[in-house]
Amino acid sequence: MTLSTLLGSIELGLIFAILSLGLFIAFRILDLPDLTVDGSFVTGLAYSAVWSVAKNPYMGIFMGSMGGMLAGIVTGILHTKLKIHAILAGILTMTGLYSINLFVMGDKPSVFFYGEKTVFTPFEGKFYISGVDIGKLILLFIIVLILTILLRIFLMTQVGLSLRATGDNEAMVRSSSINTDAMKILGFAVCNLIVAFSGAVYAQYNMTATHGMGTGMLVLGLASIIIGETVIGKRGMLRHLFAIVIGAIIYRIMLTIAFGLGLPAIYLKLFSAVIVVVAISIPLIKPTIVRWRKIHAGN
Amino acid sequence: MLEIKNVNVIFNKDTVNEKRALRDLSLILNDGDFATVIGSNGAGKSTMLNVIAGNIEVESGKIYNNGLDITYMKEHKRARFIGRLYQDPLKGTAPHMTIEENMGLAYSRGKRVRFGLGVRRSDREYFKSVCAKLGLGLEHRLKNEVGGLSGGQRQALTLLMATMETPELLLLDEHTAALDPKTSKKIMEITDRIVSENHITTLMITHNIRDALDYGNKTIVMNNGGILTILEGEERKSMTVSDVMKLYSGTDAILSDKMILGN
Repeated sequence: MTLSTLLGSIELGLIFAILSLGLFIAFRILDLPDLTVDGSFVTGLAYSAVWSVAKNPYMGIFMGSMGGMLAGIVTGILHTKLKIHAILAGILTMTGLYSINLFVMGDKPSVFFYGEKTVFTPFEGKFYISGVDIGKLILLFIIVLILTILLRIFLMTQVGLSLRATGDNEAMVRSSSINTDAMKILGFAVCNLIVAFSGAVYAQYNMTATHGMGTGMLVLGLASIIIGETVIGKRGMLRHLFAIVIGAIIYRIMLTIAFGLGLPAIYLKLFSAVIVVVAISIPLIKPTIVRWRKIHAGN
Repeated sequence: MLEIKNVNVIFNKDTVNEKRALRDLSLILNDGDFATVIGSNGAGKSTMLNVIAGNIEVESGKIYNNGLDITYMKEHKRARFIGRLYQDPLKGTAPHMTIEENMGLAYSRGKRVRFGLGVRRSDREYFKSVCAKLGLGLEHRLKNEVGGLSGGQRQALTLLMATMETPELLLLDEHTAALDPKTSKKIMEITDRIVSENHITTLMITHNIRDALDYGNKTIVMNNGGILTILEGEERKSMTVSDVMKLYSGTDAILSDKMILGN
């Protein structure tokens, strides 16, 4: 692996670290895997692309994030007010978003904007490590750092505590006079806002938006979260958030290595799914081995 | 003052399993009353508490708290003035959050949502002092996750959380039943102290008849979805456990006659 491919995978890792941090809110804090992300990621892509074409990349990031937030609110309302199962609510919103995203992209399956100004433009061509431009890397690093700190602070606020308690012990939260429905809607909204934000950044990173990009984003996010937790651990909130960022980067580097070893690109999603299964089962394998040894000790 | 007027609750209405859990139940509790509730299984004790707390809706009847009609108020809104403890010590606290975070949540009860930190430095000092009063050493473990505490400690913490912002009404649903005898006694003493110090109107369900007579100023004996009798004053003081047992057995006779005669 050359330096530039390594840095490239770290850049992508950081973009998907944003996505994973968003998913963390739904999956770990609220304990509800939110399938809306497969759609809201594309919402981010779509707005980002059309606004970049219109020469306003910052507006693209903003509008994309807001679009994602709205999608999250819809899923939240479907789940809490209409009592639809969280996963089905996510699928419904995601399915609806398929059309909306296409509409935003002007009925085109992809939007290209090579050469247009993006949020990365001011950082490009200024910083180099042995001839490799690290401008994008620096910007992404700053974004992830700020997001991690903001999330950490948010989860310490009173609203953040209520959100965490809602996922931890819902009955207790209701008896402490907090509206759990509102908390869940908020959780879905924040989750999808961040996911769409990562989509918006990703579009400008690639200078393309493809309508079919969203498939498997939930699994990708889960993979990053679980890999990070397995490698770094999850004791303490800051450590947990940090673990997710590292997990996303590790996942991306693994993918790059797999492609380098000749894995055809069509196996990308299969690879993600297998990684999730393996990462989930690792903590289960260890006690089994320990138990086997205990039973067979002395034989 | 808590006022329950002719409340009826029917489970599984219009099915073969239809059960009238509360029948025309009426009850008045004055401010500062500490009433213990006893009765056999299925007498409607927990249903009564659930109706007051708002997780079961009444079929008919009214519930007033200090003159305010709360019959159809949402559960989380009532929680602003109602504190509640369950039998299961795991139910009242969030296991993956620290003691101080749990207390921070409880401390904000009834106040408007604020956007500052959930646990402020000044709060921490206060939490420490109230924990120290329990005498369980929790004040040194404020930053530990609640999941690591014993059942008794969790129940004591829940009690603290339910009463930190003095509620107008405290509902205790056999909150010591899942604890060992020694811890159970300790929690009962703490409960009694907190309730009498703050003059909280309290309803406590218990299966321990000794406790039912020893604590509080009234004992409500429930049977078959209604109130059989309310013991108070001199009559209550002279009651022994076996007297109460006789009350019970009397009801059982009525109950079985009713069952044979088809109500």
